[in-house]
Amino acid sequence: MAKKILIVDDSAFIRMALRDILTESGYEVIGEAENGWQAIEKFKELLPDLVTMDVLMADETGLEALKEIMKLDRNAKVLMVTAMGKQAMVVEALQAGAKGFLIKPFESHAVVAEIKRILKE
Amino acid sequence: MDISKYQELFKSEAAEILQTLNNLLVQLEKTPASRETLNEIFRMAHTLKGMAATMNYPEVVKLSHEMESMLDTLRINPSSVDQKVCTVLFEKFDALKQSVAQANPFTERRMVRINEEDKAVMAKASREGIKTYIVKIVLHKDCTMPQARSIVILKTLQESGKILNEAYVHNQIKTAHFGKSFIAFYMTKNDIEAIKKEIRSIQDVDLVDIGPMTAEESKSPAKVPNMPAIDPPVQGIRVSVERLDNIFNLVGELNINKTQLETIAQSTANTELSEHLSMTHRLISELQMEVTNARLFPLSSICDQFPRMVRDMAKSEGKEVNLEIIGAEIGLDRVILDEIKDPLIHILRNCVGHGIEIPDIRRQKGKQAAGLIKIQAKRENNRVSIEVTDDGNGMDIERIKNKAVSMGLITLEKASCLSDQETAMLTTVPGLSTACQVTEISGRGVGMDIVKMKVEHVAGTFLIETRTSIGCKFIINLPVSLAIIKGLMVKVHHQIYGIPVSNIVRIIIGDPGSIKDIPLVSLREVFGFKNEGTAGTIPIVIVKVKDKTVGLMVDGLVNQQEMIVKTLDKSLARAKGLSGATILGSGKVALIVDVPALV
Repeated sequence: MAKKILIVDDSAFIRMALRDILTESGYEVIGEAENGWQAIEKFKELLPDLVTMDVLMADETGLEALKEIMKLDRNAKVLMVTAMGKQAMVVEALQAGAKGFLIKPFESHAVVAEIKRILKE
Repeated sequence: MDISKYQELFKSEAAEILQTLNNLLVQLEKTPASRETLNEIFRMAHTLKGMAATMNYPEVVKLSHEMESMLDTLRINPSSVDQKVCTVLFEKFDALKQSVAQANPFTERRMVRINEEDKAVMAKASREGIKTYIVKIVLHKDCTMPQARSIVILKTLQESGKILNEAYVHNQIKTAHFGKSFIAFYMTKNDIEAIKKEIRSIQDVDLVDIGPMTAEESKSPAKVPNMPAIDPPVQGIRVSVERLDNIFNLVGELNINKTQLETIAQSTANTELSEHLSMTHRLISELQMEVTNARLFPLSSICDQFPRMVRDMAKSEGKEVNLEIIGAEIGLDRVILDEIKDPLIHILRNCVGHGIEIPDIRRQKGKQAAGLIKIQAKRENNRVSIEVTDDGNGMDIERIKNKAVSMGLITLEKASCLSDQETAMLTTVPGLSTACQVTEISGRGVGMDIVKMKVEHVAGTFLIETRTSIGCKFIINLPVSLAIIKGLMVKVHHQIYGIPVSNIVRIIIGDPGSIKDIPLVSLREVFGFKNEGTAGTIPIVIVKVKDKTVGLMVDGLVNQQEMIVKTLDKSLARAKGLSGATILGSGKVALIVDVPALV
C-alpha cells in the first residue's frame, strides 16, 4: 500500500511541486497544511507515515509543529525542508527528532531518496 | 580523490616540523654543546610524536620516540654530543622523514579516545557479540550544511547501535573549521557492509571508512589525551597555488579589458565613461596588488633545505662550511622562486666545491678552519637582491682569461684590460662555462651560464664579484613579482613593441650619427626588418642594464602603459630580443623587448 504523506509548507507552489514529485513516485499525499497549527491538526486526523515540514514558514511555526508532533508520536517521521543558510534551525530540528532534511531548491530524485531512506524502503 | 583531511593537515604540519628539525640538527653539529638546541630538537621530536600518536602512525611514533629518548639523555650531558652522535641523529632524522612520507591513515590502526566508562561498556557488549568499529566519514565537498548532515548520520547510526563518546564527535562537527569529515566510535551488531550501506544512503556522503577497533586499541588509550585528533587550521585558509594563478590571470584579463574600454572612452570623448573608468582603474590596481601579494612566498620556502644540503656537500668534500641565511622571510613571486632555486643550489655547490678551501689550507692562510657562506636577501622597492658570499679562494682570474683567449672569445689585448669582475662574468658565457665544466680548468664557473640565463628569464640580473683569496660574491637581483611592468610602447616597422620602463634611462630624439659615446642598436635589425636608412632625427631609447648602456633606435614613440606580461610559448621563447608579449588596448598583441639580451 502506498505510504501516506502530509505536506506542510506555506508556499502553494512548493506544496504543488512536492505533491507532483511524490505522487509520481507512488506515494499518496493525504493532506496539505500551510502553517504549523494546521499541520498538528492534520497529523492527528490523518496519521501520515511521513511529514515534510517547512522549517521557516510565515508564522515561524515549523519547529514548534515538529516538537508538538514528536510529543504526539515519538516515532513520527518528519522530514524538514529548508532554504540555504538555516543550518542552526535544521540542527535544532534534528535534535528535536526530525529524521532528515532537504535543502531548497531540491531535485526530485533527492526528495525521493531522502524519503525512501527515512521510511526504510 | 580527497582521501583524508586529517592526513593532509598532519602532513603539512609534520613537514614544517621536519624542516625545523633538519635546520636544528645542522645547527647542533656546529655548536654541539648547545643545551638550547638540544632542548629545541627534543621538543620538536616530542611534538611530532604526539601528532603521530593521535593519527596512530606507529612507525613515526616509534622513530620520533627513539629520537626523543636519545635527546633526553644528551640534554643531561650536552658535552657528549660529537660528530658521531650528530651522524646518528641525522640518520634517525632521515628514517623519520621517510616514515612520515609513508604514513597512511587507511593502512594503519587508529588511536582512539575512549574513557574507562566506555571501555566497560565495550567489554560488556563484546561478551554479547556486539562489535565496536571506528567509522570515518567524509562529506562531499559541496555539502552546504555539513553539521546538520553529520547529525543525520549520527542519528542513523544510533538507530542500530551506540556511539561511544558522543561528545567527541560533536566536538569535531561543531567547530567553525569543520573540515567536513569526522570519526566516530560505534558499537553495533551490524557488520561493516551493512553500516556502510546505511551511511551511503544519506545525501552528501563522499566516503565511508570503517575498521574494527581491536582489543589492543581499546586497552591502550591515546598516550597524548590532551591533543585533539585534528588541529583546526589556526590562521586563514589554504588556497591552492593553481587557484591563485587563476585569479591572477583573471585580474590580468580584467586589466586588459579596462585598457580597451579606456581606448573607447578616449576615441569617443565620453567623459562620463572616463570618470568611471578612472575609478575602475584604481580598484583594479588595488585588486592587482592584493593578488600579487597573495602570490608571494617567503624565500625560506626554498632556502630551508640549504643548510642540510651544504652540510652534506661539505662533508663529502672533507670541508667545513657554515651557512648563514639572512632575510629568508622576504617574499617573492612563486614563479620567480621556482626559477631561482636551481641557480642558488648551483651557486652554493660552486661555493662549497670550488670556493671554500679544505681546513688545512684555510689555516695556512690564516683563515678560520670552517668556511662561511652567507645568503643575504634584501628588499629594495619592487626588487629583491640576493647575495651569496663565500670567504673562499676566489676565482682564478688568469686561468679564466687564458681559457677565454684560447677559445677566441676575447683577444689577448682585451684580456689584459679586463677587470677582475669582467673576467669573472666571462664564466657566464656558454662556451667558456661548458669548457670549464669539462676540464675544471678555472676551478670555478661551472654552469654559470645556466645560472645567468635562469635569472634573466625572470627579469633578473646576475653579477659575480671575485677577489683572490678573499672570496666570491654572486649577486642576483630580481623583481618581487613578474607579471605587471610599466612599459614604453614604441613603433618599429609599423608594429608596436613594449620596452620595460625600469630599463629606460632617457629618451633622445636626434640624429643617430651625432651620438658617439653610447653604442646604438637598431630594433629594426634585431627583429629582422629591412633597415631603410636612419637619416634625420629619430627617437632613441637609452636603456641600461647594470652598468651597460645602449641606445635602442626605434621608428616612433606611442605611449606608456602597464603591460601584463604573458610568457611566449616555446617556439617564440628562443626568438632573439623578445621576453614576452602583452595585449594592447586595441586588443592587438605587442611583443616585449628583452633589454638584457640586447645590451
